[in-house]
Amino acid sequence: MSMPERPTVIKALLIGPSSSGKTSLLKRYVDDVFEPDDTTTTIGVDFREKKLTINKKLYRLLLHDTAGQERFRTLTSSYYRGAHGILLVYDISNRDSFLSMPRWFEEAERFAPEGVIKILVGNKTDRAAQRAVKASEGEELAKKYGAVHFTETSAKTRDHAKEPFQKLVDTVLSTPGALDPNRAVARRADVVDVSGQAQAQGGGCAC
Amino acid sequence: MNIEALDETVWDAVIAGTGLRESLLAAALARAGKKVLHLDRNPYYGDEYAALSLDELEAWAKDTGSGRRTSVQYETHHTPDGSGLQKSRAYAISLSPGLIYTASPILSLLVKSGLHEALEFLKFGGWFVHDAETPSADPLKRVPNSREDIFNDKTLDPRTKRVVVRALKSMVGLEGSSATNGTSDRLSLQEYLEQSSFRLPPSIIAAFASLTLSHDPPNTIPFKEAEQAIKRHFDSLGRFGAGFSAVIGRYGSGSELVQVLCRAAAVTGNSVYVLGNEILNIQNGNSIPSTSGVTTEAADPHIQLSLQSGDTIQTRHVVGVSSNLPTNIPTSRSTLEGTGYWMSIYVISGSLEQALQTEEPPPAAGAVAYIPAGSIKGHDSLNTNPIYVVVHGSDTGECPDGQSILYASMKVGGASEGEFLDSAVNSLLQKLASGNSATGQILLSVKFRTYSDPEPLVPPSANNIHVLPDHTPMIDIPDLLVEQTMEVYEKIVGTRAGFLEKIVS
Repeated sequence: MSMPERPTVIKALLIGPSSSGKTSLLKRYVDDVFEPDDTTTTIGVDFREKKLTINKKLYRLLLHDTAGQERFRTLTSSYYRGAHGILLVYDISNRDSFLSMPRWFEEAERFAPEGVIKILVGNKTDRAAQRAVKASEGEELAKKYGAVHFTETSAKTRDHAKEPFQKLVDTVLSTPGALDPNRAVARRADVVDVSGQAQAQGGGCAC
Repeated sequence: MNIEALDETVWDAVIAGTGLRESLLAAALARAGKKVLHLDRNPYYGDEYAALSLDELEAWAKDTGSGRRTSVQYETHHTPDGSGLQKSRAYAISLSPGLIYTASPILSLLVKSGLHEALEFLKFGGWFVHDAETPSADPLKRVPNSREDIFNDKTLDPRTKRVVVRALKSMVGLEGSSATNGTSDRLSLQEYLEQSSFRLPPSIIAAFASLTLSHDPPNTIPFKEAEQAIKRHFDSLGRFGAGFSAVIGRYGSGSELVQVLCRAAAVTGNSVYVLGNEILNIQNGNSIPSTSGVTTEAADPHIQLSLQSGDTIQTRHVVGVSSNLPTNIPTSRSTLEGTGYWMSIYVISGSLEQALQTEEPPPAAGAVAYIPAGSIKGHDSLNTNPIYVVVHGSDTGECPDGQSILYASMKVGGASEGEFLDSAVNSLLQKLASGNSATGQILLSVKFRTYSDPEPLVPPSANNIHVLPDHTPMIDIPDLLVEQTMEVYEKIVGTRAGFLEKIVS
């Protein structure tokens, strides 16, 4: 059976403290492309998806949000599985938000696959009057924790809002080995399709 | 949901503990639109289904205050060649092997609800019988899965082959030949297979016994029970690929399942997760039944909970196993301890490929070896109960490449004491090395005594406090857990319809 070319999946996560605007940033990025009109969040959806064509190759960018589990810092380690890139988002108008970032970098370091691409984002530049974190501080933090890119954004005004996502995809695609589907574990055993779609061949008790 | 504090809402349910049933319930309730606060006293998910780093495992072994484990021994060993333990985080050691039969309702529930896509299931390969008495050059004996396997087995004579097929047919009941009649009901598995029409030898009886996952020797496994278990094995065989009847979830099986369920609960927006927190006290607004005949005051119908974090919260229902709930609530906790088991988890240097090889590629991620009663020497006696050793290879993501995890378990009784587990594992490791590979060494072991569920109690659900029956995970994830979860779900939602499948905003 010949199959059409399967798009390559890129899994990206958003993490960071509550109210840093992760979900708004995600919606701004995804909906600006797919659904220009404001859409309501679909209940129970695990991730948002964006299809990309880069150099005539098809990609599915899967963007996973924290589902509120960042509030008490109870993100599951399974959330990080197989991630290619992580956006770490804080609020530039909230000093505490920025100060919590080392812990988020450490958590990513602990649970995400080795070599995951990290991008630091200072969100809410529309709140210039309340700015509590200098851009240079973000820059420094990104360097300290090995984030490949730092940018300040506003999901509200669209200021640089696409940039961290594009940078993430670019870096994943240009870093050798970054798209290796399973950097954490040598994938020898194949995954069993338990949905029953793959027809079981042979098997059964033949007695 | 936009609540800044836990006390600003009346929860539909507060669930204590993130074990498998609790997490399944949380996901189902949240999807049904119920507001759920889900707590765990530990800083990690999973409770008795957790998967732990080495540091966490050591802390778990030392924390004997909670749970049902005693006599915990945590030991690490150095190997001469330096192929020792790696950093703590290179491990996600599941507290139980978490084998799932492919015909299990848990799997179909996950598929129907779409949650299987967040999980990676791996083939659980072979069942083996390891008789320590056989020459070490002989390969590990694989339990046959099909008529072909039986007829290709060079160690069996033609008569035995025919009888084994006939015995199997009688149990699995193919061709409508449900040969087992009323008289078999009182027999043990061993008596059934030794009766004149079969007269099967001990090695074959051990093979049948291994498929039951029963920790009793074959002469005390009731035949009916064995028949059900063997049927389950063969019903599951070949469903998702040739030659295997079970799967395990990558990264700790039960542990990963729990986390996927908890995330599914959270993404509905209806469930809030707090770890490192527990219920200290339950005050039921109208818990005191009126004995005077006077209508109880129209008190606050909600249950008030004091949490360890200092919060006082309101809820309509409380759910948890008794050990996760405060002691001031009435439970029908049994004074009986149930059956005692010795269990031991090992990290092994070596990939134990011989155990994971399968006829059809790819190799399996796990396998199980059955070591019959009377085949392992202790100080001055032989084991009176059989020993199961479950192998997890590094494909499970639970340990670094080139290492393996073993789970040994044995029922307490007679001369069956904890020392047998180490002997059994060492004997098995030597057997597995009898090829080209070096003998695997034990790098770490955690041995403990626990007890399994006492007779299933019907826990009280008085005043909307739902106490789940105690549960100790053994080799497989039992179907019973789904049933117990649905019972509580029905009490809270009013119906089982759409359990986990429907999503209500």
